[in-house]
Amino acid sequence: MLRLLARRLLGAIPTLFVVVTATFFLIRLAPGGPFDHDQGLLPEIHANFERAYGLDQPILVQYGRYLGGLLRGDFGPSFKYRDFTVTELIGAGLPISLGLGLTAIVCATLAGVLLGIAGALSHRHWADLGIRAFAVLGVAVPSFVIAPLLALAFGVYLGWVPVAGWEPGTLRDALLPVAALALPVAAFVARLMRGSLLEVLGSNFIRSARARGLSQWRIVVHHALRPALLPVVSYLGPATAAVLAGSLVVETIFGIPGMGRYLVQGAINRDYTLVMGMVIVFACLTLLFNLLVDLLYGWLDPRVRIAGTQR
Amino acid sequence: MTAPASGLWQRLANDRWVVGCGALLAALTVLALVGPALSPYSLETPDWRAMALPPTTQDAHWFGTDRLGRDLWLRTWHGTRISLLIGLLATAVSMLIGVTWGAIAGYVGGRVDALMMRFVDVLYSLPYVFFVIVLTVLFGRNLILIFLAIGAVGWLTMARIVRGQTLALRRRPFIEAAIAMGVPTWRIVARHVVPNVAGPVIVYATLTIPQMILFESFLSFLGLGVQEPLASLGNLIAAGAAEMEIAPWMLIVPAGVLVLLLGCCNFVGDGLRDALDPGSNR
Repeated sequence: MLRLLARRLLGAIPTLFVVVTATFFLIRLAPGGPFDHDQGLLPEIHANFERAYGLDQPILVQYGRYLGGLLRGDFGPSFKYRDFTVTELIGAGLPISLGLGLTAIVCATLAGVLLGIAGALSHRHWADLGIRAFAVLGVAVPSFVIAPLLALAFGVYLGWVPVAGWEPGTLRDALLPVAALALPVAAFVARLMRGSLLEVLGSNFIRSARARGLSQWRIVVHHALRPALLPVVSYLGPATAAVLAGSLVVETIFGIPGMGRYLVQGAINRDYTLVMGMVIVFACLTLLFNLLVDLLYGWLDPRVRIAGTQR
Repeated sequence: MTAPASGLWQRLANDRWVVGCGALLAALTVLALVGPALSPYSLETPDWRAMALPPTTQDAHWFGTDRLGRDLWLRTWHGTRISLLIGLLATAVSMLIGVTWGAIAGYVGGRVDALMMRFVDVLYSLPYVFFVIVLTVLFGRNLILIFLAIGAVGWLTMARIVRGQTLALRRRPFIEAAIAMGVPTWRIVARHVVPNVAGPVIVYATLTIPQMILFESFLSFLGLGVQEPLASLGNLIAAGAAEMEIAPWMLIVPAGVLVLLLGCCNFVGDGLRDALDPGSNR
């Protein structure tokens, strides 16, 4: 297990390196620069700005410096938010985004798995139909549609929760954003879980468990659940990506000071270091989650574990 | 996979949900094509007498108007047209890349296969949504770039599916016969491998279309895709979300059309998969 972990962590380094390099040069290729929006800058002052941020150096030197900074954990200064370093901006936004995202994923997985089990056990019953309808609707209703609709229904018409706004630590403010992020994922998980549990329940070892006279409850919890969870677990990787992308939209709609807004704003402002920092953080999160998913997968499915250690 | 075509249609026709969704999808497509022509207004010229008007049968503003007095019936169907177009084109791009990549990797095998699929794995683990966002912001926001960006994202799963199918095909006698007859590799791939993986490819393509539509709307919602004054479902929803407290129809109409569109595409895709592969009864 530890060797697998170490190997995967080492394997992530080249991927991250490719991400850093590709983003760095792509941003520089794009037309425009970080100080073009300042009105009426004298050429001398513009040049001074560039010198202050090291932008007058050859691009390879800048690249080397940036990599050097990264190794020390320094993302550099933001070009637009002049008094902040990118590390500070990320430090302020990441906990909020991460908190929302993790809550959404945990809620979505729990709700999805429970609904999926309920659907599979009430196969062809009206409850099953309802759960299937929910699953299909969830696939068709993305976060950026749910978020404003939820705000309209619960914020504007019913007035139960604030339409937007954020006070740290208040549950009411987090309710709608988490729901908007979680619903599409929950729907997909419910669909996967229902399908795979039905398949597992039809397999031979379940039939023999039935023949041994085990109760339905015991069969589901002790025998069927673990293999049936596998597709759900492998979907958690893409689900993380979906929640991260959804957070860009959901944070804008609900006015949450996470880090989602920095990516688009940073790219529009040509805030090179901020965009780099955001892409790196998102890449790390995605890689980390994929790794966690693989470990979880190995824990659930012994065949994967053995194949992993033999290699 | 080898179901005769008539049996396939029979099974599809028996599934009431698939038939209903297919009909709804056809209706949406027809409306997207001819709907704008039914309206007496034009896409960009505002109706100064009717700004932020709720849906009404008078004045032929069937879906109401937006804040600038532009007719939403027109803009919604225009947006649907663009969404469908982008969905189809981006799917075609991703199919082209994915099938070629997967078929070559699966057929050639060995080190080439390992290298090509390792590349797919690496791309898979990247937060590509963020890449596409950065790219579209940095390099202007034209439609061609959006097609390419979205299509380039969608081919990974397609490549994996095609590779898996090709691996299974490679040992089949008719391929060995072709090799024995000295048919060049590219010709075997093009004439024997690709046609035989068509079933799963078509199924996955029908499921890719809604994903692509979704992705385009997402980009447009963020203001990075289709730009004003052109309408897309994504930027209509974004505009509606900003006005929802005083003009909820501006949000509900385009959101409803997008949900119907995505739901129907998914249903038809699922139905097609079940019909082609009756064994998998998900």
